[in-house]
Amino acid sequence: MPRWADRLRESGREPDPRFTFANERTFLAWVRTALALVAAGVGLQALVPALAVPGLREAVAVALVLLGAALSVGAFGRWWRAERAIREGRPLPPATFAPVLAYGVGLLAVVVVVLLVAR
Amino acid sequence: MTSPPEPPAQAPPGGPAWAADPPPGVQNERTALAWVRACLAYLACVLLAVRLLAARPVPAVLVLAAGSAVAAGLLTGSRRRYRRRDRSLAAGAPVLAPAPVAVLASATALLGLAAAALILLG
Repeated sequence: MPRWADRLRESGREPDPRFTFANERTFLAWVRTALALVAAGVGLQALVPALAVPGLREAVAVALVLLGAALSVGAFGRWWRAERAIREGRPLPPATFAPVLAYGVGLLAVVVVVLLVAR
Repeated sequence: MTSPPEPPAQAPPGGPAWAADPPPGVQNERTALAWVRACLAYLACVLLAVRLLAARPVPAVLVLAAGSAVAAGLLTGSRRRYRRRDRSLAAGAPVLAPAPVAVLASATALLGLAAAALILLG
């Protein structure tokens, strides 16, 4: 196990392995979401013709892609904090990202559809 | 705020054994499968991103090679980890594996940043 994870490994007590597995699968689910965002941004740029407002397609594509990158970093942080909470017997940290993500992506999707139709 | 995780259930006294939580080996298998899905998603994202480099074959091949190496490495590591974790479960040893988690998180963040650069630089 890597040295930078010693702080994690030495905190609290060794949990039931099922919790470690579940936490890891949750991280993987978040990373798949992040990758879907990156793919959406790249797909928008590479496969969709320019939108009504010049440069807007690039802006939305970059926003999606950076959101995906930020989400993957946040997913690691969430995994770390959850593992510590499990080991120390504390409540799990709340997940504030999911509704923000859902509303944000939904809004972006509506914007893109409107601009595609408006050409 | 969610409450602390509860200890796994025991089979009800006198009841069938399958009424208890499934054994940890099932979770190990589910986790390994989740890694496969994640690596495939990463690879698919790399392939799509390479489309942005359609006009520049040398960087495209480099990105494809690097992305494939990351995916292959994570997949191989996941298989080894699955077998090692089965032994750890039998021995009561820890199953925590932070390294691949960090690798995948960084690789995805890097892919996102690279894609942003490619989009902005045309």
